[in-house]
Amino acid sequence: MISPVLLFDLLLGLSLLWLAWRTLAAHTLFEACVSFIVFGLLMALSWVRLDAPDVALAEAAVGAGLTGVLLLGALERAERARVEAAPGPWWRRGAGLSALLLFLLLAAALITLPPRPPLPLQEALPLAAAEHPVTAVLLDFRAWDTLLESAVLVLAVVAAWSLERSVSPPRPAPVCSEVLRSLVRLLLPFSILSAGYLLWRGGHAPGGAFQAGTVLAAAGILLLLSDLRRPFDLRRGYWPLALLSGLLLFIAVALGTLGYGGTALDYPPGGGAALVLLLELGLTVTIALAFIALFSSGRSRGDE
Amino acid sequence: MSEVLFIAALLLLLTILAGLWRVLRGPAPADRMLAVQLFGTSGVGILLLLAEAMDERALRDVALLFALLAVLGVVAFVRWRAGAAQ
Repeated sequence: MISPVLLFDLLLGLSLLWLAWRTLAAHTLFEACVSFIVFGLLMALSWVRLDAPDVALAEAAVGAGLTGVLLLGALERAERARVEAAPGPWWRRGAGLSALLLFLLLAAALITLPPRPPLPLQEALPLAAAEHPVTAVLLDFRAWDTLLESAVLVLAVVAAWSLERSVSPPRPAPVCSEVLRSLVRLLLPFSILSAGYLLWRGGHAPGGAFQAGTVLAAAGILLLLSDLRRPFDLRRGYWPLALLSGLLLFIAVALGTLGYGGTALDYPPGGGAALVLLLELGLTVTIALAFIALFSSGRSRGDE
Repeated sequence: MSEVLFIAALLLLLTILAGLWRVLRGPAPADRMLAVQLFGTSGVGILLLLAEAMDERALRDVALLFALLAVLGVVAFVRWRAGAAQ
């Protein structure tokens, strides 16, 4: 008799593989989008079973939530621009070959990896500015990586903005139903409250800026979709400054710690926790606005 | 106790797999999207059961995120279809 735990994991793993195949082999782009959303949902469950609640949180926020909206938005534009759904056979073969090559390289790297001594993370953790190991790695031990990642997010927005002119202008938005408006009015306060909760929890449990920022972005996108807020241009007024706030704050803290102790992002004793919380706050704003900008780029031009 | 919870989670996973049939067959896009919406609800159920079975409190936060964000895809879908119908 197979235990229910094993059966659960087996079914989950097999349906993931099957969904991945369905996403690639779908007849229409819409079918591929839907399969991909379900894939993200089951992927989040898989991370849970792999004992990685932090990754599960991120996957639930992005994979099962925001990606669907971004993909459907892209699909809408692809339809209007009459983009060819299927790339040519050579493109497919090339993409398949590169994916295979990457897989082989990664597999080779994994196999040839020398056995490593256990990570000294547990011993170093009491010195960190955050109790939760993932937050300690992201914003203390490897804070430099996170700084550059926030720069990557800003770059993605800049790239989306610069491509905007090549997309056809948006269709006039259909009139929004009262049901949707009432739903958004109910949901918005909960979203903002949950974002704050996730941000605060990041210090000592799974959570943090990324998840909080995604929840805030979802709230903002709902607001835009429900016509309660007119589409606005994030390139005007103080919005760019707000979009950059996480990155600028990060650079300021790096320069400050460089001047104070001689090492960038080496927090002064006792002040680490407050600085980490400040950085997470800035990152939340940057992440939320970056997602909203990616979603709404090209939609604001109807107003000009 | 955790065995029972896992069996309940397994049953919910089976309902998701049954719903996958609708996602793949359609026939209308709305059929597919509604099935996905139901998966969000089943996902919340599975996560809450696993949170107890695996004794991991953080999973309740994952369930919270599922519940908050599941609506996004459907709203985007409805707006997209409404726009296409115009």
